[in-house]
Amino acid sequence: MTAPGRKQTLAFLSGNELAAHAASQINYHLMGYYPITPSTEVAEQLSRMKAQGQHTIAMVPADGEHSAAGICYGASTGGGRVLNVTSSQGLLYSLEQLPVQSGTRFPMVLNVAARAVNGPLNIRCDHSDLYFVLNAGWVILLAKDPQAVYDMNLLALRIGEHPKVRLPVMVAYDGFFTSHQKRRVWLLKDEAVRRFVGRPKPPLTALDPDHPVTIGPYMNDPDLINNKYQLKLAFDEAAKVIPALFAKFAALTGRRYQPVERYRMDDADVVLVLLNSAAETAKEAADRLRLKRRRVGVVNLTMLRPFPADALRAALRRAKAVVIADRADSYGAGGGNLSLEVRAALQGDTSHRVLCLSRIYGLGGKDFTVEDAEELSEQAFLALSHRTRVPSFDYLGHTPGVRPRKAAPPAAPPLAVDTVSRHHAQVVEDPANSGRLRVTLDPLWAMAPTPHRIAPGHGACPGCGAFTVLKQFFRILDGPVVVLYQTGCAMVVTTGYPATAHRVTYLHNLFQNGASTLSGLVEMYHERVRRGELPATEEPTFVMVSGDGGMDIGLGSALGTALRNARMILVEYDNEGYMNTGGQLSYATPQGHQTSTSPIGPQSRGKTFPHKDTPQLFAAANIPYVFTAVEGFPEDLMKKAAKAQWYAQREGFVYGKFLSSCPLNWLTPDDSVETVLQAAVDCCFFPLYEVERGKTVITYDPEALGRRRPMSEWFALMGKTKHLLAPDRRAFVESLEQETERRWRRLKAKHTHPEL
Amino acid sequence: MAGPVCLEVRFESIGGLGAHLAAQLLAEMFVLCQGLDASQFSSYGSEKKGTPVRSFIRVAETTAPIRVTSPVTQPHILAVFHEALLARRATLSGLRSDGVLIVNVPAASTPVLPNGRVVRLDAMAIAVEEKTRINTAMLGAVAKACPLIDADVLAETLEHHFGRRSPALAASNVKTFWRGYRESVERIVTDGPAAPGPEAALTPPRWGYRTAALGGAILEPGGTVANDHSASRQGFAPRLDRTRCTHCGVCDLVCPDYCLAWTREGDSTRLLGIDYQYCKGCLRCVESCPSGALTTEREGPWVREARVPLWPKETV
Repeated sequence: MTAPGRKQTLAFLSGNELAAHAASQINYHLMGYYPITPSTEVAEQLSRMKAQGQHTIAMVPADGEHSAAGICYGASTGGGRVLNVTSSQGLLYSLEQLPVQSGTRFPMVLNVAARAVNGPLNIRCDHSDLYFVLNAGWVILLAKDPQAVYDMNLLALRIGEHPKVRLPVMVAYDGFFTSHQKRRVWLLKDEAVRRFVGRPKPPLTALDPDHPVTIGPYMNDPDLINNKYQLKLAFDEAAKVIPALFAKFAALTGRRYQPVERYRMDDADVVLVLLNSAAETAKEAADRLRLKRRRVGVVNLTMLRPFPADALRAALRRAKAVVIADRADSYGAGGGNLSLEVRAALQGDTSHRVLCLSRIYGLGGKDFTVEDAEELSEQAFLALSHRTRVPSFDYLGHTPGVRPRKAAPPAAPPLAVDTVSRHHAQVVEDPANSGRLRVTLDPLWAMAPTPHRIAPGHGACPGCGAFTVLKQFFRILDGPVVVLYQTGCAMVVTTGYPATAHRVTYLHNLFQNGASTLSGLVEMYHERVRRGELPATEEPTFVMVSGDGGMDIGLGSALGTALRNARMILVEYDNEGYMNTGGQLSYATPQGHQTSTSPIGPQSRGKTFPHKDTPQLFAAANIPYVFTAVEGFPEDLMKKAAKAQWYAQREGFVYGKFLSSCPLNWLTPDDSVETVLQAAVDCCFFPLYEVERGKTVITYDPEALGRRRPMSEWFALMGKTKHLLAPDRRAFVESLEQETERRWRRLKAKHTHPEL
Repeated sequence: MAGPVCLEVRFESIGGLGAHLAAQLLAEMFVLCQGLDASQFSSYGSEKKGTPVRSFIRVAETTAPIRVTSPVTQPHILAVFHEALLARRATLSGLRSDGVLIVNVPAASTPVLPNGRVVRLDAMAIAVEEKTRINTAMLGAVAKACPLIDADVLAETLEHHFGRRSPALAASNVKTFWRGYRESVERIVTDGPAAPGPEAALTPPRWGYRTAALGGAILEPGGTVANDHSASRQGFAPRLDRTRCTHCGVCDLVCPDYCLAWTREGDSTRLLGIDYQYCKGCLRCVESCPSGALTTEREGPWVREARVPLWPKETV
């Protein structure tokens, strides 16, 4: 138990808040980051604190985790202190950066809020992401509760920067169970933190022109093996440095950590070995079982790399049976990574044979209860009694399902293609207009009864602007449709297992390669048709749906697919932020707008750089058709949808952007969507146009119609931009008007000039 | 109950009603103002309005650490933020026989309530009148029902929290809190069913490792039609007056919940009505209707009668 006092402050905070708090007190030079649940809050909290002037960390929002890791690496070569936080897919996306960070010996601190890795997608806690980085050459510390997250963040810096270590350090804690659970904790005062972490003393830096260095050469054999042996020696040192620092930390705070923590181990017959929050739960079970005269103990590790084999052997010296429970499996290896390493360590104790059971629990955030921990112990006692055969390796908590497979749950009746294809749009090539397309639409009322390709019952927020644009767009498409949704709001709320809202075939893959993925399917389709394996009857239209978030992290793959001119449509619902993860800025967020990572405060005034012009990026790829649309102009949107399908089926890649309302994060009433979108269009911020076979046509010109309005009228409608109405922001708003005007004038020039 | 824990609290709610914030403020007060230890967390689907939210608090003496991180299965205090949630067995599961149930129900409602201490409060009516949210009213009712809570200190905590935004917000929320405190009515129910045991929350998954389609694929399109989102509405619903409807189709363009029922009659189309099972009450249809056929009404028993199911009963 923490001794109260010792000049520490009492607080009630979660693991994420504490990671942010430690970072703020340390005052890192820089954080390069990308939002991902459940670690996003750390960046949001730090953005908020910076806006209030509590620290001066340079917060750099990257376009994806691979880039974020690169930003961190580059910054770390400059001799300052660097921090990042990520989880799951983010950790995996940045994976190739990690061994470079350690192999070229640049310390930094990375918090990992452990979360399950995809396939299928799950945002809750397990350790599958953590186990991917065991070989990355980083020191890995484990924080079992919010207090430990704070403490390990302070220790991580000292360990990594130690002159005999010089390694990057991870602090891994459980997503949601630790990241989001608030606890009673003790914080050091700012001055005590500064004294403990001291100042960095890098042996070399990329920012000293008097001592130019080459960092990251091309290194062949026989040199690489020596570079790696240096890494091995660093880990030998770390194994000594860490316990010594734990002792120093105890003197400072009264909290003593051990590489291997023992609970009721003196006379334990059965021992549970687990990591992080589950170990705490197991201690409750040990207490309960002790009341029933079952001698159970618990062992928990605070460091995974270096692996504390000696301390582990010492702790397990008297155990008769050990249950090693992993919160991730190493499929095909007969146990999770922890259990394999523990068993290997126990091989080193030749004096004493221990019965080992490997178990897998808690995958995808499945709760690990006190009863579960008791069950594991009972299995070990059963194994010791020899009365029943207990499997050496098994899962806990899996369920077989009802046999035989019950009748499928109620669903929407099958959607016959001709029910949903009503030819509401007729498209002809117009020779009088250089072959560009002319579209005539059925009246809107005639379209109303046509069923949708998305069923009701999806979980979107009330008033969600993504579902209205998608319904208007898909209404016009004829024939079979295959969709791919990138990770984001629309994907999450329509495909919560075991129910899907989609009535057509739907794919989901990774956040940054949706376009490549769908284009792979498109190419497969054409090849299979060519081989006669699929009938060449009505060709499906392949449509990818992404938010603006997916067009940050997935831009590279999307442009590559556009350059290959794959025959598909990519539509983006741009709600000006990463809404699925709680409203962080995206590169499409307009300048000056408030988000959770571009907050408003004395030191921060919203997003600092102008929004990305994605339609122009795709137009530069010379694809057959590019368009912009909003739901408030349904005929315009639907005509563009008809053209999109025509071009995608015959000529190549189509890209379209909808400005899509998000009442929750734009801070607008649920029913004010059209007023807000109309203002965005009428102030020329979001022009409605198309680029068809290279020719730009503005399809709605508010200026020509005398309806152009100042941007401030748009800002007045949204809570996220109300701050821009203050008198002291007038000059800034004027600069925003100038940028909007600049882009609008260029668009008008392209519209007017025959060769632009 | 584990170790030093002396009180377990669970809030059952829906995203957007503020249960998570209420639980955070309550737990924070126990720790920072009443010298106790506490742990607090919530579990939900994703960062959306309208998804179920469950918030948990464990309160303990500071003598030993709180070690359990799994949900509270046997609460002493159970607060249900929306009447529709009472229909789910999991909502009331594990309520202790000596515990207390606090429910937000409209004054005219007659829900089936379990035996034991039950506190009723029309938190929505208070929130609508005070232009606040129901969470602070619910905290008032919880404070009255739970002797461990120092209501004055909790009111101060709310004042401090909302005061950071504006004094007016602080005042209205503190007023809402005390209204919740005073207007909540407790009685002992003896003629109801017993609350379900904790196992009622443990519904096994639909599919298992022997029956799930390979790789997690979903083979049944449109299964979400079985979902009921009516609890997402915050006291209001759109009402259709068919005599004024011109069947122009504009409402269908703007409904994100795909819940308008149409039919074709020869060459024309007709709007039959709304399937309220899916309507989340955004009221965009009302805003868009050019003929005033759709209006905003207070939620009430009329919704059940007015509902036009999109699929006949055999399918769903």
